[in-house]
Amino acid sequence: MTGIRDASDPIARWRATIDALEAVVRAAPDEPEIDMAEAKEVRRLITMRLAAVRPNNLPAAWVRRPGILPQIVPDTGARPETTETIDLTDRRGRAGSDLGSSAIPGRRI
Amino acid sequence: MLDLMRSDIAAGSAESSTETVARALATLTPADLVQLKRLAQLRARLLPGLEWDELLNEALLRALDGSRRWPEGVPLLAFIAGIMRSLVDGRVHERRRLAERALIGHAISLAAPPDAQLHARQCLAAIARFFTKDPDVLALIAALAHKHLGGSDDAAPRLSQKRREAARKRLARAILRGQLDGFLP
Repeated sequence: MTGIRDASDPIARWRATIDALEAVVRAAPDEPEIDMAEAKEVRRLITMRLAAVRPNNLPAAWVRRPGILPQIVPDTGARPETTETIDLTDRRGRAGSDLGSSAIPGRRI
Repeated sequence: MLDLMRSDIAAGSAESSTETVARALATLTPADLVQLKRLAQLRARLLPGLEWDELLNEALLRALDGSRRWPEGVPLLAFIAGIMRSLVDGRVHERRRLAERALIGHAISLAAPPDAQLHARQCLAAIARFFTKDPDVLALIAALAHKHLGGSDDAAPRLSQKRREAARKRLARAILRGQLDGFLP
């Protein structure tokens, strides 16, 4: 609190009232009836904020290390029959660029 | 309620402020979380149009990015409440500055934008209506607000200690249960 504020100013009075109510809330004992939905709502907000501060909180073993390329191991097990075909070739007869170098031109899957 | 202090959480002096705040936030109880929401709701009422979750989110960001340091001996909720207060004050000053700039050349001097004054009046009237059947609570609020305006420290001098404490409990319950917030404009 710094100095005496103008008591006739409604904004100053409202601000002082909020300060007073805040002090009452902070000094209050725990309310026995807690609305868990509200607590979860605030917890979720905090969790999102924490996740933004700690963008990488996965165990080290799960994190791709620089210089090590991911290896895609072909699945040798039985696969269900596909019922539809999708043509991934572009107009020039090449596979879409986002398939990477392993893509076969004109391949149908 | 945990009433966490920085020294309860910090593993050592080498630990960053961010990590200390993050760990403390993760240990808050449901009662603490609801209290934090109520504090944000109250503070956001100072600025028409400001949402409590927006304010709390901004305060958490400031606490976690290290731009506000959590001082020793200050409970975590008081620290977050202080940031919210500072953020709202900053926005109030900014709005006032913009309103004054808009009025340059109109030869009118404004202490605060008219909509903010109207909002404050409406909120004060709403509180008076909400506690209209509980004059002890109204007397307590008036005395506490008077103290925050720089008046005497004697809260509600007309009330006995017992009645004052009972009024304080009823007021806290109305706020913590979210009843008052739902009543405010």
